[in-house]
Amino acid sequence: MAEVVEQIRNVCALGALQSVVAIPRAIPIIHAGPGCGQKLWSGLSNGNGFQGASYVGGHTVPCTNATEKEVVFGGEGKLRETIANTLKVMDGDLYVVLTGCTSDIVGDDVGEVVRSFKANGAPIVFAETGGFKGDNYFGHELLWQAIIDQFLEPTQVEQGLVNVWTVLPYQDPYWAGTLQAIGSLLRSIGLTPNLIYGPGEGVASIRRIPAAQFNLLLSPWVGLKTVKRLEEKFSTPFLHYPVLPIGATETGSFLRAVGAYAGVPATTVETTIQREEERYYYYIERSADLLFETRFLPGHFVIIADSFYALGLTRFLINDLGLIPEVQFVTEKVPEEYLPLVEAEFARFDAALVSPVHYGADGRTVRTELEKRTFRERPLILGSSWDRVIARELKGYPLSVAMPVSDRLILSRTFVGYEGALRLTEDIYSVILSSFQ
Amino acid sequence: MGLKEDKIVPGREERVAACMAFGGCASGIGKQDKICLKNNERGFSQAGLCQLLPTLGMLLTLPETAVIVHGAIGCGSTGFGMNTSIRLHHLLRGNPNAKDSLWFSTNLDESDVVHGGEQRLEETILAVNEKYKPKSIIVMHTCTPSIIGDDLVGVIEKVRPLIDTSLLYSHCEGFKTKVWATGYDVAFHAMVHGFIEKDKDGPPPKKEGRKPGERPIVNVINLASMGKPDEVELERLLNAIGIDVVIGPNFADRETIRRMTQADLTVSVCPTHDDYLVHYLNTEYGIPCVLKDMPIGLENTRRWLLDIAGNFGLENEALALIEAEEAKVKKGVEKYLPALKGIKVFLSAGEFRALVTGGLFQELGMEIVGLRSYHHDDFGTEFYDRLIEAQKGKDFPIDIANFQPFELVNLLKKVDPDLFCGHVFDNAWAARLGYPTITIFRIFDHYVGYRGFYEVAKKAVRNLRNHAFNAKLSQNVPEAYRKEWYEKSPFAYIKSEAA
Repeated sequence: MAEVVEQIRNVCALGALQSVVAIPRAIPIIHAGPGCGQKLWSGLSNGNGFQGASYVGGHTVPCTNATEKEVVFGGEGKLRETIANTLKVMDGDLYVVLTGCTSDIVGDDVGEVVRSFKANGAPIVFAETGGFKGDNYFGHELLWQAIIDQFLEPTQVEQGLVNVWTVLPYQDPYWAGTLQAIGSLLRSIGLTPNLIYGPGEGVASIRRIPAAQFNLLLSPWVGLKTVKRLEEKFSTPFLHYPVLPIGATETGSFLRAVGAYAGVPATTVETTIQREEERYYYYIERSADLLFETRFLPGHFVIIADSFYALGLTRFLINDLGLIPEVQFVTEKVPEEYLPLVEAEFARFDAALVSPVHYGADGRTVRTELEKRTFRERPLILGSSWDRVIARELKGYPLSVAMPVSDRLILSRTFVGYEGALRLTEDIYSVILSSFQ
Repeated sequence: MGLKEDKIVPGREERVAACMAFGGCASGIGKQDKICLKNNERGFSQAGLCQLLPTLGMLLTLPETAVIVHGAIGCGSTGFGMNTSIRLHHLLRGNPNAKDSLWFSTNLDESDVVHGGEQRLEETILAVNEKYKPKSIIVMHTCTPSIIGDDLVGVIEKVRPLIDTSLLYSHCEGFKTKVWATGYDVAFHAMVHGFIEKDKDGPPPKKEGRKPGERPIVNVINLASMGKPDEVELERLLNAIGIDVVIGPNFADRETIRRMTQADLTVSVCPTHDDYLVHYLNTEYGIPCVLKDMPIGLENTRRWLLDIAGNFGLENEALALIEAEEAKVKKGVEKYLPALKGIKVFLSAGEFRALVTGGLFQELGMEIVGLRSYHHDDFGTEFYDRLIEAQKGKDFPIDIANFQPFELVNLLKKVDPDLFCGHVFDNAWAARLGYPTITIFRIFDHYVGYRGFYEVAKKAVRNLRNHAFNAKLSQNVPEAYRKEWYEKSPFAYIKSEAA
């Protein structure tokens, strides 16, 4: 049974809407009440790094704006009319119908409506994402099950083509830059990334999914269903690398793992790593004077983010920056079956450092746990903008890395890879330095 | 029925025959049959808003409150963003240490849809009260619990006697009304029932008449979207003619809201926003009201002030103030007039706000070439004619649409204004087409009264001077609509019942 949530840090299954918005020329059509689109957009995009409406997001999303009439008498007629006219007005290459609570409770036969358009040649799929069914991590996977089952066709495999499955667009305010960074890392060892979201080929990249040599799942658990379904349907194998690579240590391991899996010659991978590390440590060295000759070191660190960032950031802060963990909070509900997988990753850090991890943590968990602890030095608190309040009370150094982020404009910034880790280092120490100026 | 008796606030389509879909000439709207207008629909529509948002926008302004969104987790998505904007309001109000609102979602899932969510809600209210002791608890009822039949009022009235905290509830399910402005009524309903009608101390008694020589006290109904600078201007003007004010109910505490029952007059700043509350104060407390104008632009501010002054025999004081202020501000804006002369402006906002701001622009020598309102009701009707009259009979197209940017961008391309003045999110659409834009409100800025007149002029000139960002945007971003769409009428998907 679900529990009351204090200070939400993710949204409902219909939040998959934003994953569609992240694909250029893919058009969501929502069959839901009149406020669902606006709320989800506001939470995931505008209230989260000011990510904007984009090509077809925000109030531009076609919507049935279901009213009492659709709830009492059914909304299939209204949906049919909305889809028919969307195809005339909105310029897209793929249309994705997503349902909200009203439709799923009254039981509209959305599949039947959508199939009639598909039969007439429209590129259209549907997923039943009523908000009460689960969170947006869950909804995101429903969306991909729908696209795989209803849209993808088998095609010739291209050697070296890699589909990238990682952070959730918009839920992660840094997703766009993060995908670009992962793409560059793959290119640096001679692979061709298929990034799907963000600036790029849009729906054409979806059609290419079955052509990949393999699927790269760069995620603690989200997306496992998707890559397994692709394996079943197109026999595409997948590499599951659970940690978001931030900084030289993890990025090196990541490149080696991918290179080995893809059959890239080890010398290519090692040459790349060496070149990138030389560059990376050129900059890192500059920071050493600040880090070691001044008193501006944070005390222990706390991370409050989803499993992607809780794990990825913890690795970097321990293995590369040499900080000490206090307690970590994973904010999404990790399904039971994947929990051991995630827990195992949290147990693997250099210097045998482990810290308690709370799963499915909400604002109440965070506050209760942090208030129990004594911080003798000012802690570094990487969380959401909600957490700036407790950070202030603890005299901590806050940096907003997870939804919701309201204190920074985020365009292409990312913390992933070599360059991303440099940005993160700059951000952390800029917070510390500006705290007394 | 009215605010006091209504258990559930009626949708505005029923209460005031509000219309959500119309396209045509400004001169035509007054001649339309209200019932026909009310039934207009769209064959294609884009994501609008639901009444939960304005309800929440207002209730969140209450100090030290806890919000419980009873529903699936997504219904609380706006929580943090709104928390941030309310914090900004508090900063501008000189209250930097205002506490954030507390946020909860009952997070209903599939099993709750089968078994009901009443018990979870009841436990949540009690637990929140016990742990945090907020000054008030607000419960928002959303689509899912409403469809599965949770009895919100039942839960509230069961819990109310058990706790000492003011309990506000709102039936703000999105599917229940097409007119999201209903949310304003829902918020007033929640405040009145929570702090007055069902308050632990009961409703305050009616006030005795004003004693001779006592300064009149008027309620000025503020808006959650109105900035402190505008409240300061209204208070300055009313104080100057010998009137004291109580500003609320937004950003007011329980005591201030209860004090609003003791005023000599209630003054609306936006009639279409306020009528449900104003009528309550009138019916239950016999407080007369001024519910006609919005003090934006010289003429509207003049009428607004004179109406208020007329209630207390202060017309001469008001006239003297108006003459002095107008003379001063007219001299002040002189330097801006050459740059604004003949500028064609398109307005987009709530109907009343858009109309009165149109009047202000005309007073600055500009021309109205189009107007988009979120909904239409009777409060606005005569103002369309006033705008047409002020520009020597020159009519202009209007679009009544709850957002629906596909209609707006189509209309903009046909009208091709020099300046766009819009509400939240509207400006970005106009900017994508390359038009210079100014916001019709921003909580940092002045819009009302004489100060507002000056500041809007200044802002328009500034934004006309360099709109490079908008121009570059229009040259470089793709549009989401098919070319064929622009060849059609912007109102092609509006269906009237007769058709």
